[in-house]
Amino acid sequence: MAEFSGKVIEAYFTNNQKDTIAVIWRDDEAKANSEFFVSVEPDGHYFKALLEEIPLEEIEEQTNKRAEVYMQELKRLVKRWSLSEPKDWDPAQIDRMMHNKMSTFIKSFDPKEKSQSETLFRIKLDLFEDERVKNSKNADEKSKLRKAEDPLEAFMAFAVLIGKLGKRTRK
Amino acid sequence: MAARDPLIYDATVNNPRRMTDAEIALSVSYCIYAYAGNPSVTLTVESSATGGSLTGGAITDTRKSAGATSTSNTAFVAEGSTEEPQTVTVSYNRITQTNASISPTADGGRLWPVYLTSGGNIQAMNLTDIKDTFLHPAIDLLVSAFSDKENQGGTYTVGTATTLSNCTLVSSNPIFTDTRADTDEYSSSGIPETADQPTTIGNFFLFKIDQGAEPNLTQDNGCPLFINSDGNLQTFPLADWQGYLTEWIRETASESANNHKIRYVYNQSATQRGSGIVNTILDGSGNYQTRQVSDDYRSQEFPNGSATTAATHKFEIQKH
Repeated sequence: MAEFSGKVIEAYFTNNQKDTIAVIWRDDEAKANSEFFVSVEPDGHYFKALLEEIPLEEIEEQTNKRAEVYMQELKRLVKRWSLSEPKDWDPAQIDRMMHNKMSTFIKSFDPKEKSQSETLFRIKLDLFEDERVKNSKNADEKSKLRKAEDPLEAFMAFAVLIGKLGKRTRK
Repeated sequence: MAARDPLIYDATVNNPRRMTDAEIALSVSYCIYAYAGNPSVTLTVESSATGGSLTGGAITDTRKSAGATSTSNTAFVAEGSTEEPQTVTVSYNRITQTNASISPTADGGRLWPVYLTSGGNIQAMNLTDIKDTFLHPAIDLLVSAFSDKENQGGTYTVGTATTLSNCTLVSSNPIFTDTRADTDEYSSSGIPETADQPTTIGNFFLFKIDQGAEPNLTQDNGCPLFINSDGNLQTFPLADWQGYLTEWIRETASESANNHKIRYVYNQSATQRGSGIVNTILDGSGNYQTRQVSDDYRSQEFPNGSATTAATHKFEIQKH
């Protein structure tokens, strides 16, 4: 006889080693369902008491069912998430958003704005990957590009490095 | 063993006779009842996680924490070089056992009931006889696996909620808390994330088993004969017999010199009391995440995986 005797609702293994069983039982006096963890030991008092309530095969079965329900729930969540994607991703809206962001980035660059400073850093890295910049011998302009503190400085240095700056501007 | 069959006065035949097993069992039950009403071995729950002192403690709760953040100013540190999630260990030994100091009535030679020797003489039992006949069988029941409050009242068990049938919560402070990493709290945008972000999975509480119903021990159905100060045989007054049993069961549980003291331990292959105390943990090998801030490339591995039971601790009772 154990605390859960005659009151077991469900029992399942709690790990792959199958050395512990969680027993869900109804504690009538407390008027609540409670958990009781039983070690799988052939001579253990609680293990023997549990087997009098529910055979090992059924515990196995309930463990598998529980895993199945968990997987189904997981799949349901993934499906719901994937189906919701098109609603969130309206291409036209994204275009408008990107346009606004680019415009703000160039016209009103704020170095304290984390996303803008990250964008500037990524752009500088991309520009350095350009073959024309890589092959350029103009160390001063490369340094200017590296140290550029806003997008316009970076674009200016890039234009010089790839020879695209108009004569008038150069003067 | 020197268990005796004490003599009892049988009013139906107006003669003494040996007590039956049922009559002896009634006094054993009374020992348990009396112990449950005023246990001499008590447990308290300390507020400090390791403020207790049970043998076999401390028991440990483990959980995964995120590995340290790796940073570089050129590229993300690869998964293989980013530190794996680490294991956080919290030790619990919150229970303190106290054995009361008892001064029971001493035996002056005629304190205890009489029995019939093999030679046909009437002789007073000595303390060893009393232990073997009443006290030790009572202790054996008290330290056995929990069956009901009639047999284990006054001893302790463990539950997973703050209420448990036939038991009284000792403290709302749990003796053990099972925790796991809270995976919802970790995100790549937060790198470097705080390494240890736990969530509580379950608590384990200490309970004292309630006193059972009083056994129906009366003057006529279970009080044995003893030799009074005049040298005559007399039936124990009920209150006296109950008083001696009460004093001596408390003394035996608390201070027995014959390996019948009650002791509570963790994981000593003694008699388990109540639910196993599980330590669960996430079993994943790490969720590698990255974040770039300007030329600061950060990577970190968060705890992940399925919950699994890493260890099951046992709260136990034993005589020693």
